[in-house]
Amino acid sequence: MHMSENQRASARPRPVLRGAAVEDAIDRAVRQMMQVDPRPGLGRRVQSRIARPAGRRSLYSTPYMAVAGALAMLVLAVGLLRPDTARDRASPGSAMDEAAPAADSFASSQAGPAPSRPADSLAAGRSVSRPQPPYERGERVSPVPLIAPKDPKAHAEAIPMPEIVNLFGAGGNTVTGANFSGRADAIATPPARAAESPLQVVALPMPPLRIELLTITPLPVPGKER
Amino acid sequence: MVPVAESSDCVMATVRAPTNEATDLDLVRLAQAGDLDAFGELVERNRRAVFRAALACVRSPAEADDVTQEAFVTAFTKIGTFRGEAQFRTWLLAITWRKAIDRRNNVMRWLRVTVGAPRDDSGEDAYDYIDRVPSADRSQEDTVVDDELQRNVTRLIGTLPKKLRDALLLAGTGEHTYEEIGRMLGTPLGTVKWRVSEARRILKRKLAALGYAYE
Repeated sequence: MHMSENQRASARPRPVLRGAAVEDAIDRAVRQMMQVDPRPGLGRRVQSRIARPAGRRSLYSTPYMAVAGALAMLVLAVGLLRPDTARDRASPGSAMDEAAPAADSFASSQAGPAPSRPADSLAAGRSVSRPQPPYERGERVSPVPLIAPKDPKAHAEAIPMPEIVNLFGAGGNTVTGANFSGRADAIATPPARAAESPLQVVALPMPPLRIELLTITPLPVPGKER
Repeated sequence: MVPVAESSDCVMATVRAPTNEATDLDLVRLAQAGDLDAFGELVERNRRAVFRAALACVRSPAEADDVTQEAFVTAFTKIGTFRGEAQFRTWLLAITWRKAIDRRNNVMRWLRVTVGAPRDDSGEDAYDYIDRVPSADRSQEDTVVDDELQRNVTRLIGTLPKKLRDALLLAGTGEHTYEEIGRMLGTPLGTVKWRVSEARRILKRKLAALGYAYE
C-alpha cells in the first residue's frame, strides 16, 4: 500500500527526548526561524524610498487602491441604475412629455395657437398652471402619437389617427340591457334571506373521565434476585 | 603620492568618525535637521532589531524586508514629532510593529496567501527558507539539527494563538528585551513572560501528542 511522506513520518517511532532536549528543540526552532538578517543594502533601499517622489508610488499603494475602488463602485452603480433609467424613459409619462411638442405642433396646425407651456410661465414669473389640453377645450384632436422625436429611426412626423366613433351609442344612467325581456317599468328586488335562528350551545358527546390508581412495581436489581 | 581611493576612504573615515560615536539621540537631532547620513546611521544601527520584529509578526523574510523599509521611511517622515522622551529604538519598534500588524491584517495579503502561496498546516504562509539570509553568529549546532523535529516544532509554532506566538518569536529574536516586547505589544512585562511560558508549555504538550515523549 502506498504511503505518503507524512504518513511514513508519523508512523516512524519518535525518539524519547529528555526535558532539556525538548526545551532545546524549541529554542533551536525559534532561533532558526528568527535569527535571520535583512538582505544587504537595506540602508540604500530605505534611502531610495525616502528619495522617491510621491508621484512614483506603487500602483498597489493605498491611495491608488482607494481611487480604483471608488471607480469600481461608480461603474457598478451606473450599471445597476441603467435599467431603471431606461424604464423611466419608456414610461408613458415621459413619452408623453417627449411627444408633447409634436402634439402641440399638430394641434396648433389644426386648432390655432398653442397653449402656454409651464417653462414659459416660469420664465415670465407667473404662477404655473396646468395647460389645458385640446380635448378639454372641446377641440376634436386625434390621440397623440407616441413618437420619440430624438430617435432618428422613428418617424418624426405626427400621424393623425382616424376619429373613433362610439359604436354603442350615447351613454346614460338607465338600464338598457339588450337581453332584458321584462316590462320597461319593472323594478329589480334582491332575494329575501331566510330568517336566521339564534345561536345555541350544544354539548358534544364525550365519555366520562376515569382515573385509575397508580401502581409502582419494583424494578429487578441484578444480583439481588434472591 | 596617495592613491585616490585611499584618500577618499580617509575622507569618509574622518567624516563618519564622530557619527559612529554619537548617541542615537544625537543622530536623531541631526536627522531632524535633514541630515540623511545621520538617519542612514540610525538605520544601520537598528536594522536587525526592526527586521526581526517584523519577521516575528509576518513570518516571511520578503515581507519583513518590505515592512522594515516602510517602518524606516515612516520614521524618517515623522522624525520631527520625536521628542526624545523615550528611546529612539523603542519608538522605532512601535512603528515597526504597527506596520507589521497592518501588513498581517491586509486583505490583499490574505488573498495572496490564500490563493497563491503554499500554506502549512497552520494556515499561515509557508516560511520561505530560500529567502533567508543565515545570521553570521549562528553556531554549527544550530545549523545541524534534527530536521524532522525542527520541522514539527516550526509547524507547531505556526498553530499557536497569535498573542502567544508573537511573544515567543519576539523573545527568540535575541534582539529584544522583555521590556521592549511589552512596549511593542502594549502589554505589561508579566503578561509577556506568561505568554512566552504558555507558548512553550503548549508546544511541549503538542510535541508529546506527536509522539515525542520526554522524561
